[in-house]
Amino acid sequence: MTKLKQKSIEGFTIIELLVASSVSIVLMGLFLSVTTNILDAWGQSRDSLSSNAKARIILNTLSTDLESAIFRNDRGVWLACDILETTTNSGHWNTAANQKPSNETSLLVDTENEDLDSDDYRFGVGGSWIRFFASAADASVSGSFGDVNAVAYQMIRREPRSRSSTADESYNLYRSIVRSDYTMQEVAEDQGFFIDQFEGEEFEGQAGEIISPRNDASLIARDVVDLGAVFYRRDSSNRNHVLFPKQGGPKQIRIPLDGIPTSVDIFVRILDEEGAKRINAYERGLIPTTDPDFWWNTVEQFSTVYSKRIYFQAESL
Amino acid sequence: MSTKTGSHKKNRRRGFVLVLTLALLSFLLLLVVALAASLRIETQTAFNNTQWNNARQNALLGLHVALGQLQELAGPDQRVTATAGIVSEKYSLPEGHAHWTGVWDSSTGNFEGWLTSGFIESELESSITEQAPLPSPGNDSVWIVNRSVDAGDPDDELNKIVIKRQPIRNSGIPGFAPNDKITTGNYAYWVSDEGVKTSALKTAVQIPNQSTLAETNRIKQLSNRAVDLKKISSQANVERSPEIDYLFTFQQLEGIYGISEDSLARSFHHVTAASIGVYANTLSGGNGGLKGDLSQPASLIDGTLSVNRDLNDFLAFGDEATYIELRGLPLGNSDPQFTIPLVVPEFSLRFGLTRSSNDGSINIELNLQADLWNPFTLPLNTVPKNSSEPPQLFLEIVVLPVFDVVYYNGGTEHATYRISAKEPGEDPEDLLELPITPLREYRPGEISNVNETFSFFSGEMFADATPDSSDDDAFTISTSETSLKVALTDGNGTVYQEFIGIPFSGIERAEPFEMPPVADGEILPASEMRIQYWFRFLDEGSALEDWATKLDPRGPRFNFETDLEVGQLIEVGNDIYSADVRFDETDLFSSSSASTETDDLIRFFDLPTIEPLSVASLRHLIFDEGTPNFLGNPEATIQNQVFDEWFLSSLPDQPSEASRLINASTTHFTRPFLNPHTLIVGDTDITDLYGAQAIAEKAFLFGAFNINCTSPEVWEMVLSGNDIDPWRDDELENPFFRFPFTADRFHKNPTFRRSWYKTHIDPDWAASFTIGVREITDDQLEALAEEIVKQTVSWDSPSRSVAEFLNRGIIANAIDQTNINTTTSSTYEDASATTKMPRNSPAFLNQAEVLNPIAPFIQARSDTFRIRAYGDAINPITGRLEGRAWCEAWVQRTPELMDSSQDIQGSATGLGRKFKIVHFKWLDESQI
Repeated sequence: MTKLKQKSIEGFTIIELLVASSVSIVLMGLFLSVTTNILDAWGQSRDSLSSNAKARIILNTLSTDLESAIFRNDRGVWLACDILETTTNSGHWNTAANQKPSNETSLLVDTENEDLDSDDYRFGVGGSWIRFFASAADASVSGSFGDVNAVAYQMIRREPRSRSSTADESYNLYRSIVRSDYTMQEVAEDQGFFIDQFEGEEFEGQAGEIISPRNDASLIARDVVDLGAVFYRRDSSNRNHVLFPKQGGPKQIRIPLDGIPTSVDIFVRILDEEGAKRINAYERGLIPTTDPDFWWNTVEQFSTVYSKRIYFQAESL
Repeated sequence: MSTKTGSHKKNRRRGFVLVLTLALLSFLLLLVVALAASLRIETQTAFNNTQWNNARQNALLGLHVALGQLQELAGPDQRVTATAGIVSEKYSLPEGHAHWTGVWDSSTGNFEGWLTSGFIESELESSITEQAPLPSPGNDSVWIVNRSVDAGDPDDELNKIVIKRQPIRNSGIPGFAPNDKITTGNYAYWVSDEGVKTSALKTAVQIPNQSTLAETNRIKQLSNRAVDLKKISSQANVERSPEIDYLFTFQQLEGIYGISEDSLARSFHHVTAASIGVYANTLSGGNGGLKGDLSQPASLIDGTLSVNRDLNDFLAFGDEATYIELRGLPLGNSDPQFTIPLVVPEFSLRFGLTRSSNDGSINIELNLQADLWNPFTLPLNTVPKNSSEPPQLFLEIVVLPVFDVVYYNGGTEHATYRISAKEPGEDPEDLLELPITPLREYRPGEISNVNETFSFFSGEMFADATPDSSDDDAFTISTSETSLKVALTDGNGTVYQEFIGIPFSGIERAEPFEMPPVADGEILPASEMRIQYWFRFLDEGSALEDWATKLDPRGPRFNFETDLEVGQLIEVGNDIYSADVRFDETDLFSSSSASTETDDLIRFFDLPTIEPLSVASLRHLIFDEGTPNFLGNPEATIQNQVFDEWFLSSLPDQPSEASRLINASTTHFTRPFLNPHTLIVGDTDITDLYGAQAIAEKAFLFGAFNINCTSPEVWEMVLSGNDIDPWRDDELENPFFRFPFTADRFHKNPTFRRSWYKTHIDPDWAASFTIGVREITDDQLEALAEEIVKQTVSWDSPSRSVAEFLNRGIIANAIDQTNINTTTSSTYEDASATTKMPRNSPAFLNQAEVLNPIAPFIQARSDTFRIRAYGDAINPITGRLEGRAWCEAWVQRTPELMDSSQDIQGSATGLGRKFKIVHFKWLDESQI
């Protein structure tokens, strides 16, 4: 009985428990480490894939639109690009205390400086606002009659959907298409093709979308924290010269007034998910820091710059 | 047992670890699988994206191959383009082939190539038959046009284009031998000739603000209107909207005019937004180069031609042609007062001898009768311009006959005198200048008769005879053969019209006749003047048609000795007793006493009152040895080359002449001048446009139309674009003006108001000589369009210049194949339905009149093309089609040369003038 009792209470010795616990902890640690690494890799891959997918969509859409851009060598404005140094352009920018800086740290374009990697370019707090006339490939899909549309690309910090909460605010890239008939109405009112004068009601497919894109239908991608364009003109000896932007030069280009480009490099900086979370938390004041460069440091750490050279297929007559 | 129990417990503990381990491993495996799946999706997406891009690149390859072929074949000046419809009869091609675009050399007529993929190596025109019947969509062929148009309608099927794909083969593909050529994709292209389509965006001439009503009506019809889009779709809203000024693509027609997508697709081969031309000369055998602008400002040698200096060159075809004054007066003024000459359609000289009852001297009395006709549609003033002299107009007569007068006294020859109608001592062959009075303004079409008798002292005296009225006192008179020259002059050396070498046989009045004594100052009645010389234009019935076709009554010179036509069309005689030669009122060229301008006056010619827009507007110019309505008709032959060599831009005389600028805007496609087809692109300052061919270097021809078009639908739309509404109190449908510069003066249905004409002129064609505008029915227009195409195709080759097109008489023959020139009772009084109008009468619709509204924008080739290109990507391993792409590019020829070392104004050889892609877009399959 005693023996039985002795056997029944025979358990793990403290040593055994300690060893077992240690082994378990080590094993768990190992598994956790492996799992964490895999999850990190998964997350990074997912971020990368997500960014790649976004970039692919953005650059393919921009390629299609810009390749079909229309130029005429007259006194109209067929393509306009502004480096936005303020956030007031669209009227939809939701400001935050810690948002993308509106100072010189957000503007770093020097096409003549060979030491500056083009991936490090920064195109202003609002990025480049690019708008032009083009034959939008999806014009018929969008119910637009004809094949000349005013098209605009603009980056805006706002909630990505109409019903989103402010907690979801992000940097979004919008692509606005003005229906062909509304495009022509506006052109007739302006007595010429002046893309920089497009204004009006902010309704679906109307001219006002060029400056103030609607939130839902025109959203092309979230977490795009910078959009830039460098325009080139090829000379008779087939060498490219930068038309815009130039160091110390104006922050806008009007085409054809300022020259007619033959190609354009598009730069898109896309935050990955982790970066987006961090920037969101930072902008909501959840990350206490006094580092004035925190925003850009975080962005540079958690973003990828995608670029593509796009050739304008058409020349001006 | 305990062992079992102990063992069991031990196993349970081991299982726990195993389960834990398996769970963790499963979790890890799940993560790895999920990641792998995600990566696979990403890889597939990236691959698809790559193939999509490859397909696009292959489509761009097709586009640029097409562009290169277009540049090489069609770039030089002396190349013309047409669609395969032009050789459809020659090769019995199926109708669907009509839309292939071909290139021909305008110098040699040689075929250069078809602008469709698969024909690059072939320079044989007949190579097109290799794809007959048409390819059908399948593995080797691909849709390129109108795939989405509903199937079933045979007409729609003919408008669809399917072309063969061309493989793209690469070596060095992984998995294949290094030298193996593996198909990695295909391309295809097809070039659409936009110039053979009607431009929907042609716009009417804009009316300058200060224009009077008359000028407004004149300007309206100088060029044709915008095409009637109702012919594309009955749903089209043709109300003009401000957006129209800014359209430039075909697809935009859908939104602005409300044309359905299907209707627009069906119009693919018939309508374009705006074909744009370069002012280049394709003249076969010519030197190419840019055309000259007749609107360049005046710098004239003699100051008589105020339109421009180049007009001298233009008119150099006829040495005597330069006296016609061409000036468009400043707008807002009344009718210009032209000082060009009247026409002398009938003329007679009668001679009579008188014996002075005072001193017995022999006098010659000369009676001059002439009809003076203003054949123009505007008032003519006989006042010589630039002269302070009293207004005068003279008939000059030289080589007058010499009279041998024999005096019989008492029945025997008593004396012989040789006398002439000159002052004593003057040479009979010297000029006799007879003033014509009164001088005044001649109303349009007015015919006025002048009748003057002049008396000349012969210098001979009947000193030794006293003739009396006895039976045996008499005179006989005879003349030798003579050759009169009659000229209408201004008395200052300017000859307006002259008849030279008028042959008259000798006249002998052998029977004795009296020479009654007359008192000084007394005039012998014309009826007693026994010697008469006369001539007249034949103007009875068919003779009138003959001279209206073969001879220009305005002259300026009729030479009876060398010009056979003159002898056939102008009757001469010296038989005083012929009843037919008097100035009777049964003939057309007889004097009328109409006191007011009416529609029943006979008008044959026009004068420029406003700025002409094309050389076709100048068809009433006089050309040496030309016929009426010369320019633009087949008769003009070599002179029709002016259509290829010249154009009229309407450039103001001075850059500062802002009032001549219709549209000062320099945005988009600016057309600042009266000529709505003069397109200024770019930031061009108007001062840069002055110079011999400067404007052709910088301007384009908006709405250009290639006359080698073989589509009846297109021709019908092009010609129907001339509708004018309002027109006076009405509207005009399909009108063609004989007198474009005075179009406002004519009603479409003239009637004779005066009973005199009704009585005296053959009623079948009477109105033909009073009408100034022809309005034809829609059915007639449709028939005309079909006949034009038949005539065009019958030549089996394109017209290599506008001149060749005109000289082939394509429109003229087409008109003859219709009933257009058959009178109808609704338009002409008492007309029989089968009666043909006299050829070239004002009501007779001829080629030049059909040409007039379209002449400002026609050319013998196209300069705007639309390239549809296709590309696909093939998986080299599986052979599967992985991606497809279509694109469309509008390509425009520019004056710019590919070889910048050549002279831009000279003939463009080699690769010629540069083609540019001016509009590009990607298409998805549903847009094909």
